[in-house]
Amino acid sequence: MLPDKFGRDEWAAQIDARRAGPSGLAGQILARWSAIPLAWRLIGLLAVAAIVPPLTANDYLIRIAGTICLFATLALGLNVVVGYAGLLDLGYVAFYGLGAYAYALLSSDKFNVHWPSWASLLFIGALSVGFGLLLGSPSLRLLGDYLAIVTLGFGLVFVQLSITLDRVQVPWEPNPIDITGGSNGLINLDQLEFLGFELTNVTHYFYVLLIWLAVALLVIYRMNQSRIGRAWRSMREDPLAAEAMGMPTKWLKLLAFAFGAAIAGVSGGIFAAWQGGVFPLNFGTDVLITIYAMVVLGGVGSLGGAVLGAGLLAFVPELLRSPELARVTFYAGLGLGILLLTRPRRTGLATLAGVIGFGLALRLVMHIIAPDFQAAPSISVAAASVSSGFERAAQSFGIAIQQWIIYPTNLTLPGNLAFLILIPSLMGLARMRSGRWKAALRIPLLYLLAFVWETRLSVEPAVTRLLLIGLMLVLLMIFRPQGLLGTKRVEIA
Amino acid sequence: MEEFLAQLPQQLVNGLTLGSVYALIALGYSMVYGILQLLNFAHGDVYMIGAFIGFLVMSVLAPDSGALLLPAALVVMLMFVVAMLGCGLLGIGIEWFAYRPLRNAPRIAPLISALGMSILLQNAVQLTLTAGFRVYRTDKLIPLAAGIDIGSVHLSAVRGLVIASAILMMIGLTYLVRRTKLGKAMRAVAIDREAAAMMGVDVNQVIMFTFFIGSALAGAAGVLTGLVFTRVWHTMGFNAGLKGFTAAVAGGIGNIPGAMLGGMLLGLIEAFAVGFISPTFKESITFFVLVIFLLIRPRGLLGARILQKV
Amino acid sequence: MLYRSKRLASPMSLLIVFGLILTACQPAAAPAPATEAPSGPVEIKIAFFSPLTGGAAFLGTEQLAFARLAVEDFNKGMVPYHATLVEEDTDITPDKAVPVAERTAADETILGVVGPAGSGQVEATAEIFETAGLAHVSPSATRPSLATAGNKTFFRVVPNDDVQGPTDANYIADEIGAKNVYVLDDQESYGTNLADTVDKVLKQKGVTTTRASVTQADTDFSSLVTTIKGSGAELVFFAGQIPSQGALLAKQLKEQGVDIPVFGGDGFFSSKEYIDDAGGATEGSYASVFFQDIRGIAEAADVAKAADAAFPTWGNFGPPTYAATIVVLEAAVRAHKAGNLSRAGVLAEVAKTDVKILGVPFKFDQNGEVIGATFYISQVKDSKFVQVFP
Repeated sequence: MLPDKFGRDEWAAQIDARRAGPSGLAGQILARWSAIPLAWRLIGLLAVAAIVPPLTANDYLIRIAGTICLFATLALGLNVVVGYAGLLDLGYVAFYGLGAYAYALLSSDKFNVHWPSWASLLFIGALSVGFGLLLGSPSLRLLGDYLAIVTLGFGLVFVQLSITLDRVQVPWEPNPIDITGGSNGLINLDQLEFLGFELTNVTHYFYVLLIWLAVALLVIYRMNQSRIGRAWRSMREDPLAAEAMGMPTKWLKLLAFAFGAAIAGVSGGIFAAWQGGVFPLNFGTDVLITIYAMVVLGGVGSLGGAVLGAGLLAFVPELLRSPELARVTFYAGLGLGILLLTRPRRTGLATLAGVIGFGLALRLVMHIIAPDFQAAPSISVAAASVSSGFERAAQSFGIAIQQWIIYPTNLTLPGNLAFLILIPSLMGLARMRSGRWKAALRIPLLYLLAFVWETRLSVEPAVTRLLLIGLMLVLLMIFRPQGLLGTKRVEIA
Repeated sequence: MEEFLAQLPQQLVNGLTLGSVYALIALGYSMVYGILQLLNFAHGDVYMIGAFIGFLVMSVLAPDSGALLLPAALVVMLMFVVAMLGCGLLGIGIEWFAYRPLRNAPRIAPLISALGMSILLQNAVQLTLTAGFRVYRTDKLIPLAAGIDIGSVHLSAVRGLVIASAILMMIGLTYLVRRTKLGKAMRAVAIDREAAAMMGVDVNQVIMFTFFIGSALAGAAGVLTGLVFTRVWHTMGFNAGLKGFTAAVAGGIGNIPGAMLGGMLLGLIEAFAVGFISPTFKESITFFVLVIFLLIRPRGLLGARILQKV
Repeated sequence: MLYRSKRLASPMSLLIVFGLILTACQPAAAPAPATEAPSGPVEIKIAFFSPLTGGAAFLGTEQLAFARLAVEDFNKGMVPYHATLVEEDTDITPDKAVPVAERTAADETILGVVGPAGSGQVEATAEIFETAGLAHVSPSATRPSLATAGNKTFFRVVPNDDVQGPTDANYIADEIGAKNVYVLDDQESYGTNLADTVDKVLKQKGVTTTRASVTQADTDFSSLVTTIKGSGAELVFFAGQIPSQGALLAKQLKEQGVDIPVFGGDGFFSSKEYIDDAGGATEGSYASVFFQDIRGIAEAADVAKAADAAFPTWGNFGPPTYAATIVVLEAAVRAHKAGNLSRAGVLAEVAKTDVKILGVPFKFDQNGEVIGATFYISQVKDSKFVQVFP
């Protein structure tokens, strides 16, 4: 890996090359896109999104679309704090939870308070801003790493408090009062109601979330273009220099925190109304990691990136829950990866052919040595209960794969051993210099990857998902820290 | 009041046991931060893997059914050695793969990489070893009732082992850092990496050693945790890592005696909080300690004043 | 300093590839049992919700093993019918169960549901199942309010916390005769509900109680034990779900010379983790469970043996799952015989359930609660669980 160290003169000399956008087809599309005025771009995207519900009667799909909008908004908010202001806030999820619980307390039978929706949401926004300022004040004195840990701690304390604040002793009451409902959470929340129109089903909530997303996009974009945005960016690059230039870094940091908190809080409120209840486990570290992965994948500091990251990590997984389709996607992804990423293309095709051949040869050898090791394939015939033609094709593909790969009777142990060999080997391969050895070693390793997929990874999908998120974060930082749509940053020595 | 005094000595023992473990974890954090200014989120997971390695060694040498294959003392020694070696190598591997390419990247990149590494390790362990709790059968190696009674305090043999080994390791580390050439090189790299390189220090090697030692200590902490607290599971690194970091910060990050002091202090605070306030808010109290320290005295107890060079 | 990356295409495609692989990690349905069913078996497809990953995975994987056993036994014994289990991982949080419930509701071929496992999840998904008319039989959701919420589609095969709390408290106060009890919960919804109820009943009976909570991630109870020692408690009631935690508490109690028993909930009923791994420290301790120990029932001997092979550390969560699965499948068979194999038919038949599974009779009342259910209390004697109540 080349260190991104530049001598100043060389850096300055390359300014034109940097300013030029991407070339080729991608560049042209990008240029055309940027030429359209902002308002029309937004309306166009919104229109595309808005016709989703009329197209499908499936509540499940609309729910997914709604979830994407929600997570995209959250990712946008986090983007402001981490991307624009450069503050690593690991307690972001606490604001989300705060907004949700606040809504629950204001719109339920818990304390018999039923505020009108607009009042609740406005209040939640204000409350979140307040807490954002409160939480942000330690950030004034802390360096980046310390801030990360302190905010992480806040996030954990929030979950703890929401569980334990159901028996609070106050001096003027004989019995402890129950504020947060403890681990049972709060249920039976009022639905949102705007201008007399009550939201009752998923489609209504989807539209509300979409509008909220659009509002957030607009506001953040405007803010980014304004002086505040520029001030944030300069503070992110070099806080000392920014301060020396006269920028009120303290206020900028607090503003970033408050802004992110407000977005998260209101999103939390809408989420609470949508789910109809709030539970402490809704706001744990899992959600935090997911949102971070979305922002990092999309590109820290990029608006479109946050939405894209949210879409990828929230949308497609839900849609492909069937195991056959999962298998097809995995192998398609693998094949595409091999073909697209090896140069010249010939080597990629050769690698692919090599892997297939390797697999067949290995299977033959195993059959001769230890025929009992392999089990009969679990899918022998395309079942009649499969609904669509596409799924049946996927099943046939699955059958073919199982004929190709060694499928042991006991999946776990060989799979685990293979996994333990695979991870260090992949790491070693990633850092190896290109050459014949690297190309040759790719073949058995790819086969091993497929083997591990079949035996372990596809069997435990939720664990695999997190595993891949972790791996993705590391690889992204090493190979492409700016994510999909971000802009690359370098530190000048 | 008498109840307070009556419980105090026992809570002291409890606190010191906890503190020893936290101190060992904090040392790894402190050392790595001192040299690389990197918060190694994956450190807690190295600790977890150390605990698991110890468990695996134990289940081979002291199987559930039947007798020990080797004398108990030897089994314990082997657990330590294998876990420390394994974790040391793991630490080197993590550094080489996830942190070395990011030596010159903006600060946020290694942080996110560390976060990713932590998630990766946790879930890799869950995938291969499944999500359940594993229990150390310490009673096979050291009988449950073994220990000495000093007045009202019962110091069990296992706890004595924990405290003693932690202190021994800390003494060993201090010797390493103060009296050996490697220690001198480590201190030099921590002060100014480029200057040290110019003076002929092999920076990469020093960093490698630092990670090895820090991770080995974490591995030892994992085995000790398993021996005295018996339960190991794949997310135990998260909490322990957080507490280890709190201890490192409280003592002054980058400062080795500080990490030891911070660890012991945190253990005592936790024991007293549970004993005299309430077990319910244990985690929150630990966290508040951290915040208080960071706000009032960010450099910790023994840390040097943090100067920012322009 | 910023510059736009020119080589947008290549790394971008790498990440798209990665994203695709990530999306491919989805819960896998169980491969259909390779039975040679005669042509035209009646297909019965049911969904199974449980936490296969996450904090409660130990519970969910045990439930899964038993559900699979039930399907296997059903397919072996009822040849003209063929059951398929659609396994869904819902973790233990309510928000994870909701999209899964919606997906299940949208799939017309699914006729019934076993689960969800968590009370919070049942609450969150109740409306979805109501609207879809899907009967859902839970093997482990014990919050009392679930049955009285007015849902026609909810059933459970285990009694609720309102039964467990008083049962345990009465036993502690009357049979064991403890006058000072330390009540702990593990900050999960099951534990806090149970501990609250026990605390209340004990207080009513004049027993001194001290109330506190720990978390499931706690590794060290020694400071707590010192406090317990100081409080003079004669028994610790630990409403936890993880047997190794209960065993740890017992061990540390013994270590500091506090010789009092630990009384735990369903989760503690695991011989390996609570008895064997404790090395004798839990001798004399108790566990209260919502299902009979099927090792003592003759009719359940085969199932117990098969379970030992499939999931050696099974305790108390598996057998009710077996029962719940069979309840749904039997109802489907009766619905088919009545000529109405559909969700509505299955729902109607589940409500009319009157079968004996694993030697235990099952019948539901109009709220979906199982009739005649009681809690069983076992004590560890000679390194084995011995039922002492009823």
